[in-house]
Amino acid sequence: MLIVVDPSSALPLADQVADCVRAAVARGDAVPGDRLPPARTVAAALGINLHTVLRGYQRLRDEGLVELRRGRSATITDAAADWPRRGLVEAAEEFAAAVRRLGVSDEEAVDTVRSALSSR
Amino acid sequence: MSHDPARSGRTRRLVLTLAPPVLMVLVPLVLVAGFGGRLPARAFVEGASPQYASTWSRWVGMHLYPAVLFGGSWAVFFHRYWNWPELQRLLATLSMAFGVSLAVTEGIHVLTLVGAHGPVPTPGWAVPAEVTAAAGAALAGWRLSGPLPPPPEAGAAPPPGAPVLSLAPGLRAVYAASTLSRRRLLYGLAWLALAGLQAAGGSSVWQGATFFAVAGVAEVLQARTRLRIDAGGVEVALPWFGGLRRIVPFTAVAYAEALPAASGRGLGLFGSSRGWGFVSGPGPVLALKLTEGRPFLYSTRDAGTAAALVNGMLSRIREDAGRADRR
Repeated sequence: MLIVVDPSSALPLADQVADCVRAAVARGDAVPGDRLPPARTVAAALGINLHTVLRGYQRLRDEGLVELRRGRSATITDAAADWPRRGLVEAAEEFAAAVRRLGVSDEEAVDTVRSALSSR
Repeated sequence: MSHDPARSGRTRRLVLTLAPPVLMVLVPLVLVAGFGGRLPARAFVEGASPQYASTWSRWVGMHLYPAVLFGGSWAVFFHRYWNWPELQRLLATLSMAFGVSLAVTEGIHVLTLVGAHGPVPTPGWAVPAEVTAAAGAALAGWRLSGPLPPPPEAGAAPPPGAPVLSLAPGLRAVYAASTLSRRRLLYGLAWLALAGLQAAGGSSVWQGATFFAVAGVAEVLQARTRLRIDAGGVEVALPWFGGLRRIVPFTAVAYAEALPAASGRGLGLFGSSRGWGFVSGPGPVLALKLTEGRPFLYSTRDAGTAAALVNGMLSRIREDAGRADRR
């Protein structure tokens, strides 16, 4: 699992850590049952505070994406199985909002999606 | 002329590897020659029934076959590992442990018969003495092999087409993964079962069962592994092996790539001439092209991401170094 943080970013480091885990789940790189890297390892490698990493993991636990147990590795929960689809729905909603904002017709929007899909 | 990373110290490691089989023949030969007049008429060594005990000259000759077998096997492996000093050191260590302990075993057999007229039971201190000799010889083999020559340093950026994660100057990144190799667990249990069978068979030679047991335990302890890639390099840790770890510095990495699959047979913390690392089964593998010539392989689902991060780190380090050189 790849975790990248930018200390100069306005986004809190804990949120950046959580975002990286979400992205790995959305890409399918992390699946239910996978262990998250130990918080101590991540903190040491990134040169950030251990509690910052734990805060990021706790956010994921609150979302139901990660299970945290004392003395054991944090693991991705079964809820992650739906995550890639959830990301797709969120992307579609963003796209729909952009379509409305730009005043593009539904047919033209659907054609744009088809064109993008066929080019992949 | 191509670079030969194993040239420094190779002769020394070859001598250390091939000397113990010679010792296996020389020790019985010299002792029988030296104490010939004070030994019983026949070779009443452990396991030989008095009525079937061979003559001393025949007993000495019997050591030739295992010595040639051991020596030949070590020589074949050494030839295969001609370019890899690390593997040569491992061979020297194993050869010293087995050869010296077997020579000590036969030495004890002969010395306990000095002044005797018939079979003499093996003294209780024999096995502890053999184990101590094996451990001491292994340590000596490792130490006498000398320091390994440092691998050549890579300075070029990853080749075009290699996956690269673009890392802005302030970004910090870590990639972490862990694997559990069921295949390695099974191999380990098979070795341990063989050791149990050997021990249950009542063989008086403990070296065979010990070899199987050590190989089994080593396999099992290497089943769970952790990989970490960060600014310090690529680190592999064995949490079941007391956290034993090995770090590959970026200076020793030419570039990284993701392979769809790779064979994991024979790999491990030392590996073989095909490379080292941990391949836990079919599926994507992170492959590091190392400057020593052997690749490092590691099974991970997102091998492409891991390879891109390694190449991103390499690009950043080498571009920085290039800029510093131009100044």
